Amino acid sequence: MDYFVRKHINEKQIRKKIIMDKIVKNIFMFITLLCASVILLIILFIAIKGISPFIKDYIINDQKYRVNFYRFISGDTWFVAPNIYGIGFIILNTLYVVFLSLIFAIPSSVLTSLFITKIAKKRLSYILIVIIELLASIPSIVYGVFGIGIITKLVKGLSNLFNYQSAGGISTLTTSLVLAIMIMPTITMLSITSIKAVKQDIENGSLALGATKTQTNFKVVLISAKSGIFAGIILGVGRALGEATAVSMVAGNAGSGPTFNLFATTRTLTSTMLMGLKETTGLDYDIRFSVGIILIFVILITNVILNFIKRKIGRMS
Amino acid sequence: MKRKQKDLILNGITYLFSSFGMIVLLAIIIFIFSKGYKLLSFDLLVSDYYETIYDTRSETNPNFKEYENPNQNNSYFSKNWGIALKDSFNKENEKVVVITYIDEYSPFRNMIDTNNNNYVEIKIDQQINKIIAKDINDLYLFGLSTNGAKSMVEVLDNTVKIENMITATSGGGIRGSIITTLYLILLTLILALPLGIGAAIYLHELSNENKATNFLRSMIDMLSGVPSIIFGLLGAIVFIPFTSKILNANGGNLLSGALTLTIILLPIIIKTTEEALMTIPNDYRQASLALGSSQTQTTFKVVIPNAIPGILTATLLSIGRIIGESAALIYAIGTSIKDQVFLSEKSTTLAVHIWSLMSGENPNLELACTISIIILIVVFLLSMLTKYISKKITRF
Repeated sequence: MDYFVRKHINEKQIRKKIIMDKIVKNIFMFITLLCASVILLIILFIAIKGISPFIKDYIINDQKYRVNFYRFISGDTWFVAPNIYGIGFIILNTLYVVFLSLIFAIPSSVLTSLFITKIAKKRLSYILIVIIELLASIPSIVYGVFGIGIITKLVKGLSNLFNYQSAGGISTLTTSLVLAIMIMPTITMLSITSIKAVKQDIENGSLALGATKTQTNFKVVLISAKSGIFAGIILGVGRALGEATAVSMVAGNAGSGPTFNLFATTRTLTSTMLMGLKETTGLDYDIRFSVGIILIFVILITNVILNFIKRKIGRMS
Repeated sequence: MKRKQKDLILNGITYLFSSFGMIVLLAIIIFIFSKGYKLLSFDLLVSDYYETIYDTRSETNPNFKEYENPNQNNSYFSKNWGIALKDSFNKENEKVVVITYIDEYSPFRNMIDTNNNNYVEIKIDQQINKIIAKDINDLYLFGLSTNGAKSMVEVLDNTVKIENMITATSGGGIRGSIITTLYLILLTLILALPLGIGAAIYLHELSNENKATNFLRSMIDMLSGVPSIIFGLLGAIVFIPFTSKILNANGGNLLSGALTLTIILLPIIIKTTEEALMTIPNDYRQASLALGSSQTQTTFKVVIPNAIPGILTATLLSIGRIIGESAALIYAIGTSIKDQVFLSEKSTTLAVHIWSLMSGENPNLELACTISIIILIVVFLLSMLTKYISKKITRF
């Protein structure tokens, strides 16, 4: 026994193990650093490429062109002809479409989550959760196909009711409806989590005070969960702003704007980046990277603003 | 009483809005399936997207016998050549003549390629575009697909030798895109899983909980909020030049797409794996360390084996994401559909294939729906499987 133990406490072996540990830890640290530095890589490279249209001369048909940043950011027309790239209206259109999609998505997602957590029987709520998860798993390209196949037809019918000639149903309304369907699962999932986290005591207190179950649901549960619901909305906005394929298929890429007409074609930042992508050099290609930077900024700024509002709402009670 | 009515209305609204998700899901499934099921067949999965054109001629029809008529509906039978033809429409909605039947002894099974004089077998479902043939008196007769199947059969029945016939396979298959998708899944998982699992293990097992670790973690969290089209831009300016040098490629290729997808998947894999690591009781690690094994041994022999269900979940989620990803790949690879897939060339996954179909000049909604069916089935299965596995994980 003594021999056995001594054989195993071998200093050389222990040192080897310690060195091995250090090597492995460093390898794993290197991997982590690599993964974490990707975000910096993205910002750096896209910024370098995206700034070039404003500081470099592009030669198209023997003429020099350079994009003016002020005109770029405030422009109300987007032409693929040189030097009239303006995306001011595109930013407004994007925000407008996302805002509309929130109006469609918030009621249904919040009420669905309330239904799942508080009203429905166990089996029904399980089925509904599965449905929401399936909706969340559908890729955006399929939503795009669905948008073209069904939602454009609905919107076209609706616009005919108002005697408005829409471009085959491809419009602001269609885009925001497709976006609403896409962000609904996200908001619902987070709302479910936050409603489940509401303490039973608060609810019981409300019921004991004589409020009905429905009154409690709407005036106590939802109000208590509003911070979490708002977190879901922030996530949904992020997804809606960055959504590209489905939006490009139904937005219609209007040449100028901003348009607040529901039945008119629109143009979002992502659809601008994606549509008509053919060549991989030149001004028309590089300007997409500038749009990409603007997209990152728009997402960041909306996130900051919404988080600020969320903190304000969280304090009110 | 008033309160009751108010409650009733509010509850009614809740029921109404809650059914919205179900209605949308049903609408999507019904629409996609009803529009796409017609084209769904095994042939679609294994055939090429582009038409193959054959330029052939026949020997003088030697036996000149009457073939047996199979009596197919809607098709015209040429008893002289033993084939049946019918009118149909191709992908671009042009009128074409399609072969629906070829007799066992028909000369169409032994046509001669005009380019290299090899024997070619004409198969069912190919289109006949043009026929130049000779009748008994050595006079030329022409059959064109625009005149329809009936006139072509009449031409065939009056001729003894086909001088020149242009036939084409119907095309529209998605074999290339399926292979590309599988390639990309394999490549991306090979790249992304080691990185993602490594980072998760470092963050959860090896690192000290300090500010630096939290900073790294928040950097990785930031990645998950970046829209996929931005990753596509990164792929276009970093990975395409990088992989072009390695593979001698010209522009986008599968490796640049796989690298871009790797970065998209990193936050998902890291997060899922970390969650799995959290469910492993600390007792396991302490027991392993107390038995004298080193940190490395504990990590590889105790922690990772116990995290395998979580890693599997991460893998399934990744596969679902790869199949559905389109915006990033449009930038990182390109949108040209290919039948032959090479690592160093452009190609499309199923999702980008749909994008190519829909953004062309003649959007093909039906084929897009058919591909969507395949994507939906795979994605739903993966989602169910993930749910099943994550239920199993919570055994601790």
